[in-house]
Amino acid sequence: MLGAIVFATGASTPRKYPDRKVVRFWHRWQGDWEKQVNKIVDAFNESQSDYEVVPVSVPGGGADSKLILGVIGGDSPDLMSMWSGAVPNMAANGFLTDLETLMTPDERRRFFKESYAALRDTGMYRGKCYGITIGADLMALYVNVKQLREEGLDPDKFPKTLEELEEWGLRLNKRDKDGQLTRLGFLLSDVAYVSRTFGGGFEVENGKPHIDTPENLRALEAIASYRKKVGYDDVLRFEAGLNDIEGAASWAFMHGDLSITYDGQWRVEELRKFKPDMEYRVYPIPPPRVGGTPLGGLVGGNYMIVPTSAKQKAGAWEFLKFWTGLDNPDRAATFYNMGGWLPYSPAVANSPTFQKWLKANPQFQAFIDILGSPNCKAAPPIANVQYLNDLIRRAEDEAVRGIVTPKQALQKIDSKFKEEQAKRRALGYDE
Amino acid sequence: MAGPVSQRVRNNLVAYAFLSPWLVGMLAFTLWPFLRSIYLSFTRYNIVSPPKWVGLANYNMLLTQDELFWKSALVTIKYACISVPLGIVVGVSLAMLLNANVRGMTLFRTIFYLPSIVPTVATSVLFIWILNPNIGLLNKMLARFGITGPAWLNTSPWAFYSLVLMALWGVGGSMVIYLAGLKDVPTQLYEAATLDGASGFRKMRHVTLPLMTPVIFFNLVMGIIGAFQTFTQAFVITPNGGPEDSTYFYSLYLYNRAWKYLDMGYASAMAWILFLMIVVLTALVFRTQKRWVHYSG
Amino acid sequence: MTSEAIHRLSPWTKVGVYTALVLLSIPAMLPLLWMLSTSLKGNAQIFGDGDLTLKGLLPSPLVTDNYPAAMANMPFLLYLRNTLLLCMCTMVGTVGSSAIVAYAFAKMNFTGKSTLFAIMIATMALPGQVTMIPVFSMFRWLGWYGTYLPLIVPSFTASAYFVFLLTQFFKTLPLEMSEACRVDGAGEWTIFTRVVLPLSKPALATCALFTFIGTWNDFLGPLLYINDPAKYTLAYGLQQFVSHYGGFFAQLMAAATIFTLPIIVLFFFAQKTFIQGVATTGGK
Repeated sequence: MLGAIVFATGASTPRKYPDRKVVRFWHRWQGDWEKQVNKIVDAFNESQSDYEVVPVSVPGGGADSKLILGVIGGDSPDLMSMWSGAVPNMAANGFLTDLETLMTPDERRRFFKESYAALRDTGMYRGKCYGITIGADLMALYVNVKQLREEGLDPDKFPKTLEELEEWGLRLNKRDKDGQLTRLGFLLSDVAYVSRTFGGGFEVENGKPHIDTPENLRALEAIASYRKKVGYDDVLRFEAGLNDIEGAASWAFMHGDLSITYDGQWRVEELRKFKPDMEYRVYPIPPPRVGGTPLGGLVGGNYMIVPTSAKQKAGAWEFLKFWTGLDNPDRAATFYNMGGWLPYSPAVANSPTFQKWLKANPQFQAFIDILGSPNCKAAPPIANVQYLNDLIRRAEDEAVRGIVTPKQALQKIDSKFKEEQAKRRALGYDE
Repeated sequence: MAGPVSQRVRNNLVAYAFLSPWLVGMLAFTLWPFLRSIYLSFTRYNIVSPPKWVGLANYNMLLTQDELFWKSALVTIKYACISVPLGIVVGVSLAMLLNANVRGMTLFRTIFYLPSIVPTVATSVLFIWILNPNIGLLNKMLARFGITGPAWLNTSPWAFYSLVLMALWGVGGSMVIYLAGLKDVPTQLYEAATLDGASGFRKMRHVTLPLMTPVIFFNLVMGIIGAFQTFTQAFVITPNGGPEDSTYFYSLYLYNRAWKYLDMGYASAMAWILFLMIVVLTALVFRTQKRWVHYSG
Repeated sequence: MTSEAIHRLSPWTKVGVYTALVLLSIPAMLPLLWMLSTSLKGNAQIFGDGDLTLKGLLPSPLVTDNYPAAMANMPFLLYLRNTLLLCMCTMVGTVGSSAIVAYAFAKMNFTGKSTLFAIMIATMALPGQVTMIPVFSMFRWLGWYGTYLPLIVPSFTASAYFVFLLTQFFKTLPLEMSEACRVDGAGEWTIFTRVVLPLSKPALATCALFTFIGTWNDFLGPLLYINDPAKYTLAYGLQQFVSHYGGFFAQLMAAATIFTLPIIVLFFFAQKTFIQGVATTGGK
C-alpha cells in the first residue's frame, strides 16, 4: 500500500538547471517536430542563465481543454502554442495575457512595425496582441511539373487567371476506359480562402457580418461550378484523400493522383521528407479575370500565447522573443527553417540565413510573396470565429454537393451567424 | 431472539455496509459535479468568469431556435436504433458460435476479441485508411469484383453507416460478456434438456437464450447509454459533422459548444436534456424487464 | 455425464461451425493484419499505389526500422511501467469494490434498493464533458492535481458499469447454495467470499480484463491530471503519434501494434479463467 502511495504521488523529472526560474511551455508538436522544438528550447536554455524552459508536448484534441483546466486550476503553463482560431475566443474570455504589457516600448514599436500585417493581426483581438506566431500557415498551389509537361503544358507559363487554371485542370484530368477519373487535374476548394482571391472574404466589422457579398458569391459559384464540370462524385473521391489526420501518407498530390492542388506550406517539408525526387513548383493562386485580387491569402496556424494565470511571464516573453527573432532575426531564421515555418517578419525572411535556405527550397518563395501582399489577411477577430468557420465549412459542403445554391448557402451562413449573435447577446455576451 | 423489526434493521445495516464503497464514491466524487452541472445549465458560463444566472434561456434557445440541436439529436437516435440491436444480435450469435466445443476455440476467441481492444483513436485512423475511396483496402477489394465502392466517409449516408460498421467491428467487448454469461449456464439444465431429447437449436432457443437474458439486458442498457454518448469515433473521423451533417452526433455538438465555443452553460443544458432522454429510455427498458429477463432464484 | 459429452457436436455441425468461424475471422482480422503489415513496410511501398494484390498486402521489402523508431520517440519502458502500475491499481480497486456492491444489489434485500440502483444507472447517463470542470476543481482542491490519485482513488469506490454487470451475473447464480449456508449460520460476507465469488470467476475475469484495458487505453485522464513527462502513460505516447502532424504512417502502425500486443497476450491467458468457469459450474 505504501508503495502504491509513493507511486501515486510520483517522482518528477529532475531539472537540468535547478537554480533557474522555470518557464513551463506546453506545445502541440510531436515526433520529429517535437525534437526540433526541443532543439530551440535547448538553444534558449544555453543562451542565457536566468530561465529554464521546460517543454511538455500535449497531443492535439485535448490541448485546449488541458489549458482551460490548468488556467482555472491556477496551475497553467507560462507559454503555450495554440491554434489561431482559438485565440480570439480565449482572449475574449480572459484566458490570455495582453502581450504588449510584456514588451518594452522599443520592442512594442518594432513588433508592430516589423511584423507581417496578416500574421500580426491574426493574433490580435480588439486592438490588443494576444498571440504571436512561430508557425503560421498559408495556402498556395502545388504543381506537379512532370504531369504538366506530359500534357504539353508549360510550367514556366503558368496561368495568370483562375479561368485559365481551370482549363489546365480539366486538361490534366485522366480517366480510364470506363470513364472513371484516375487523376484529377485541379481542385478548387475552401471558400474562406478562395474568396480572398475574388476580393472578398468573410468579415465581421463592429458586429456586422459581411458574408452574403457579390465577391463571396462569385468565389463560391466558381468552386461549385468547377466541381460540376469535373463531376461531383469524382471530386469527392479525391477530396477524401485530403483528410487531415492521414497526413502525408495519403496525400493525393504526392501519389500523383492530383496534378495541381491548393495546400499549406507545411507540405514543402513533407515532400522533402517523403518524395525528395518529385519535381514540383508552388504558385500563388491566380485571380479571376474580372475583379480579382492577386496574392490573396488567409492566415491560420500556431500562435504562442501567455495564459493570464502564468507565473513566469517575463521568462515566457524572453523565450518568445528568442524564438521569433525580435531581438536577432538571423539566429531565429534557423529555427523557422527547421520546420519550414513562416517567419513572423520580413526582417527574418530577408536575413542571410533564411535567404540561403530559400535558395535550397525555392518552392517556399511563393508563400513569402503571399505573406508580403496587402491582400493576405487575418480571419475576423471575433470571439465566435470558430463558430463562423464551422458554418462556412458546412454551408460550402452543401453548396458543392448541390443541395443548396451558392446564394442560398451564403444566406444560410449569414442568417445562422446572426442568429448566433442574437443568442449570445440575449445571454449577455457583448458580441 | 431478534424480532422481525430489528432483523430488518440489521439486514439494512449489513446491506449498506456492502454498498458503502459506492455510496462514499458517489457522495464524494459524483454528487457535486452533478449538482454543479444542473446549476450551470441555467447560467451563462465561459469557464473563467463566474457563471451568470440566465434562467431558462439556454433551454429555451435549444428547443426553439437551435436547428443543429435537433439534427444532432436525430442522428444520435438513429444511430442508437440501428447499432444497439445490431450489436446485440451479432454479439450473441458470435458468442454462441464461440462457445461450441471444437478444437482451436482459444485462438478464435482471441481473433474476435482483438478488434475491440485496439484503442479507438488507433481504430479510427486505421478505418480512415481502409475506407479511403482511392487507396483504401475496402474499395481495392471491391474493385477486384468490378464494383466501384463509394467515397465512404465523404458521402451521405455512407459516412453514417461506416461509423455503424466500425462499432460493429468492435463488438468483441460485449461478446466477451455474453461468453462469460454462457459459461455461467448451469450444465444440469443442458443435461435435462439432452435427456428430454431436445435438438441443438431447441436447446439454444429454450435453455441458452433465456439464461443469457440478464446479460443481454445489461448490454442493451449499456448499449443505449453508450450509443447516446457516442463521441470519440465521430470526433476523430468526422470532426466537422461529416457530409450533410450526417455524423454530427449529439455529443460532438455538445463538445464543440463546451470546449470549442466556450459556452459551458449551453453545453450543460444540452447534457441535461441528453441525460433526461437516456434516463427515460432506460426506465422504459427496465419496465419491460419482467417480461423477458429470467433470473434464477 | 461430463460437460464434454453434452457439448459434443456432430461432425456436420463442426464443419458448419468452423466454416462460419473462418469466414467471419476474415473481416475481423483483416484490419489488424493490415496494421501489422503496414508497420513492417517502408514508405516507398506505402505511398506506391497500384491494385490490390497479395504481394501488395505483404511487406516487401520487410522493414523493421519502424519499431525501434516508434519506441525511440517515447521513453517506452518508463511509460510501460507507469501504465502497468496504474492498471494494476485500478483493476484491484474496481473489481474488488464493484463485486462487494453488486453482491448487495443482487442478493440482499434492503430499504431503498430499487431507488439506489436507479440512481446508480443514472450516474452513467450524464456525459463527462460537462462534469469535467467540477470534477477537476474537486481533485485540485484535494491537492491531487499532478499525481495519479485522481486516476486511482475513484476506482476503489466501485464503478457503476461493473456493479451493474456483476449484479446481472450474481442474480443468475442459484439461490440454494447461499440459502444452505445461511441455514448453517454463515454471515453475508462468508457467503459472498466462499460461495458467490468462486462461482463468478468468468464474470470477475471479464471485469478485471475490461478495467485493465480501460486504464491501458485511457489517454484523457493522464493528459488532464499529469503534467510531468516522466509520469505519462503508453496511451499518451500513442496519442502523440496519432496527432502527429507529419503522418509517419508506418511508425504509427508500429506504435499501435506495440501498444496492442500486451493486451492480446493478456487476453489469451485470461481466457483460461472462462474455461475454468465451466468446470466449476459443471462439476457441482
